[in-house]
Amino acid sequence: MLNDLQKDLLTELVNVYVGQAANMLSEIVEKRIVLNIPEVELISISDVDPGDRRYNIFFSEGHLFRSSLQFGYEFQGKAFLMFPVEQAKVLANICLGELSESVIPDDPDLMDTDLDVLKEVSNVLLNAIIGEFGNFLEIKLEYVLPDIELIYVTNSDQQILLQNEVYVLVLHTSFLLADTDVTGIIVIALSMNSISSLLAKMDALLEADHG
Amino acid sequence: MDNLISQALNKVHMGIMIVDRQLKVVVWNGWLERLTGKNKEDVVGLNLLEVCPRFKSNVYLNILQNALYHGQSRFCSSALHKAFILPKEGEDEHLLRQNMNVDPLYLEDRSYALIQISDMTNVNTRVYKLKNLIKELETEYAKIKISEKISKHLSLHDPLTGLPNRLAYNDRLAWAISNAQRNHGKLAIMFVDADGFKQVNDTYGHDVGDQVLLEMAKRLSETVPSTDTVARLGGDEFIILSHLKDDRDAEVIAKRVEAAFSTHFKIAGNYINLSISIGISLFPKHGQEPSELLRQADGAMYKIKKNGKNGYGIYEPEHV
Repeated sequence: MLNDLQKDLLTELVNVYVGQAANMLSEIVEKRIVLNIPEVELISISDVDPGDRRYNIFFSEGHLFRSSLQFGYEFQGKAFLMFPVEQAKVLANICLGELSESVIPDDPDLMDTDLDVLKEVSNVLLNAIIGEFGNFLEIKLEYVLPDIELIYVTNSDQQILLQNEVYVLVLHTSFLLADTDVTGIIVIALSMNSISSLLAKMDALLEADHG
Repeated sequence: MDNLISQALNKVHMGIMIVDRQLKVVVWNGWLERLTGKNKEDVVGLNLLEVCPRFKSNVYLNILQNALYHGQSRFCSSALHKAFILPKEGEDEHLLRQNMNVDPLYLEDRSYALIQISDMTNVNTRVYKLKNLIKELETEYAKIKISEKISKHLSLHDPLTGLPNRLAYNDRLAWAISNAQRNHGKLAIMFVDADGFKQVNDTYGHDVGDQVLLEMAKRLSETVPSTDTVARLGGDEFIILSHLKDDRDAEVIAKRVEAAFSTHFKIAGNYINLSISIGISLFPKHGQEPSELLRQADGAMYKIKKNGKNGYGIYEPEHV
């Protein structure tokens, strides 16, 4: 869906956005947090190869932490931040300054306070990304607080995880903090109109650069 | 209706405050009055930073700016921020925990920020206690695991020499036989008994006797390859389980073991000479059953004892 130039431009843009989010989070948790998005793709979930390890989170069974944030009107969609639950636990522990050695993968003991921390982290991150997309497209966005949920995903659930959303922007996300690399994924499900306006804006920018 | 809404606003179990773009307080509800001791009449119209000094920090100024100018909602967790609105003087603020939601509001062409504060002190205390309980349980679990490991070791090892005991040996022998059956392997079972150990005990006492057994265990362990097993069956009886390439290797090993006892033991200033008698049975040549092979090795050892001790012998059918 995206050519190399568009992909590079989008990757650069989102890395600037998440850089700002990382600074804000670092200040809150009083630890240096580096956020990295090495790859951005615009895909249709139905076209993704289940064997592609980068998309494990969509196809493997297990507990998943998912935060979702709806935004609209002109640029419409829903953004999801997803972590396998054990990664979410590591992230919460590190933010709270607690050791993460005793995480039991099959038994994620995420407590109320952990979920609150993850809600805030995802709020900062998704706000930064969606907000800056709004700035990039020069439109005013309205969005609410993210909803968070812990879900157990079975294989059949995977098919309906993102139902109704045809194309999605996938941001492979990596939190580097306290010698730990916590990886999750940000998925932004966009309406066709939003995709068109995003692509048009990027093309205009690239054309101006090369023109 | 406005009066009803106003009453409800003062009754809700959370702090509700609205500030305008200049951060001037427009709404200050009853919950906040009760917490801070500051009345609505005294607070409305004041700058938020004067009323709640915590908001002077850049983090919170940014959050308010983002709500007022960019329409962004923000959630702040008590786990990371502790508290936002402090209680009236004289009350302990250290245990206080609050969550905060900041949302944009619009009236005509003006924007406001709605700040909602929820008391999370009880939740945090409960989580804190629960986490401590989990930590304690983990520590206890680790202790139980260690003691399980110790008792397993004790049940399978001889306390004096640290060698595997009869139980462990039987287990290893059964495993080695089933493995050898699959891979066409060969094994030697060597029954080793000290000659005249009773005299050592009678002459020098049990402490020296124990030292002799320790030295025996050491010499036997050093003589056989690390892949073989030396076990103590009890008293002065030891047993070796050797993996062989050829049946003839059993004699090579037996000679090596014998040689290990050719020098005297020096224990507590005493020079003690101790020879050994070794009986050998072979798998698969002499049988398939562990108990049968042990009995045959014992029989071969008994024959050596009978014929003057200090030597080795391989089982022959007439031994039993």
